[in-house]
Amino acid sequence: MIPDDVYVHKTVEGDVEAFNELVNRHHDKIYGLAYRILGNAEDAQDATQETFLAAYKSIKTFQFQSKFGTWLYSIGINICNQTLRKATRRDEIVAAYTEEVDVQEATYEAEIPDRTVLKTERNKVVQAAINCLPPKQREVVTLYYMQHLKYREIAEILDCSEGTVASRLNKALKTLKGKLEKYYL
Amino acid sequence: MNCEMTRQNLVLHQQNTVLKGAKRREFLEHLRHCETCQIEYEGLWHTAALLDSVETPIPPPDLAENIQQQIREMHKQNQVAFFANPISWVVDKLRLNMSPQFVNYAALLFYLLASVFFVKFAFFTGTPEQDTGLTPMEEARLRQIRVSSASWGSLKNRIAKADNSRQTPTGDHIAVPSQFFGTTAAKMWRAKSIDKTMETVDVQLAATSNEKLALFWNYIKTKL
Repeated sequence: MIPDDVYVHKTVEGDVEAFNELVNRHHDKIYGLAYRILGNAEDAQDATQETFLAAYKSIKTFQFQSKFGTWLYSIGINICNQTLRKATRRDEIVAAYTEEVDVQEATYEAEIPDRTVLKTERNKVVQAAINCLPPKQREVVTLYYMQHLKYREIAEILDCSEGTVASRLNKALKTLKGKLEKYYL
Repeated sequence: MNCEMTRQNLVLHQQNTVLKGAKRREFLEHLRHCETCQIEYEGLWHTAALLDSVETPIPPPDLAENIQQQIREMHKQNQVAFFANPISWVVDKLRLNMSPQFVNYAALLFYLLASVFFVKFAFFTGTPEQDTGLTPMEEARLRQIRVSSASWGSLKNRIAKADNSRQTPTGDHIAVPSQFFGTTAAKMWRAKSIDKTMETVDVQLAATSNEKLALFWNYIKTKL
């Protein structure tokens, strides 16, 4: 598999299709991140598009000191934070999520009905709990548990120390435990 | 290790990070015997398992295609014009983050200014004045003199002819200021139909004019 850096070099040289290959590789991860942070599909799509457009505009500033994916995540996090700030009411986003998630799951996961319902319910509950977290803790939880990144990578994306990541995760997990324990006990 | 310390480390242990060596042994020893911490640990374990089990949402099928289409359009719009390539190269070398449109406009402005300066220096700049050694008054007088394009030799021959035949050269003419000649003479020299006028001019005046003309030639030859 050709490394991302090769496509980044080609993009800098003016090959737009090289960047489109990077879009193919990473759009699902960025969408997943945005979806978990913003809580609804529409905002997640917009944030994913904005992330890639912003990355394309500033691709010349990429220094190759980190992975392209990590750099993309940091742009995505910034875009999501901007979207959250723009949202006049946070509850609006949470409320919208409830409808969106049904449409999403029904459209793309129409396999076994019972299983789909269970998944949908579980996703709803977890997402609602994540939405209650402060944005910084939400970012860490999403990156660690849903994007499966390591402490070092999260610290790089969020531009903070690994200790800070651990601390935020600790607090977030304790908060989530309080909200979710009735669903597994 | 007491309960409080154990609970502080529960998350770290659950994530299988950081705790190592003696600290890890102490932590596990406490957890083995403390029922409260065991319940707390189980709760965290289940929470983490629940978070892990949540599936990554699948993006809509056309999302990637939409993004790629937008990128292509942006690429078209953002292309630097051919004439702006040198400017773009400089901008890249200086690591300035400028939009291609800005670079295009900057290049246009640069070429416009360069053209203006080129035209100005090529067509509107005279040769620098040399030091003639004349006083300002003499230079001012010389500036008032306009000599025809005819050669000196041709002019002198004509003057000589005019002296002999009491006629003034016509055609190529010399316009001179009245400091060198009397007002009447200056007018005569400028007149196109000078032959007819000369017939009515006093001989003495003409002679004086010739003397003054000789002085004038001498002045020009020696000073210029």
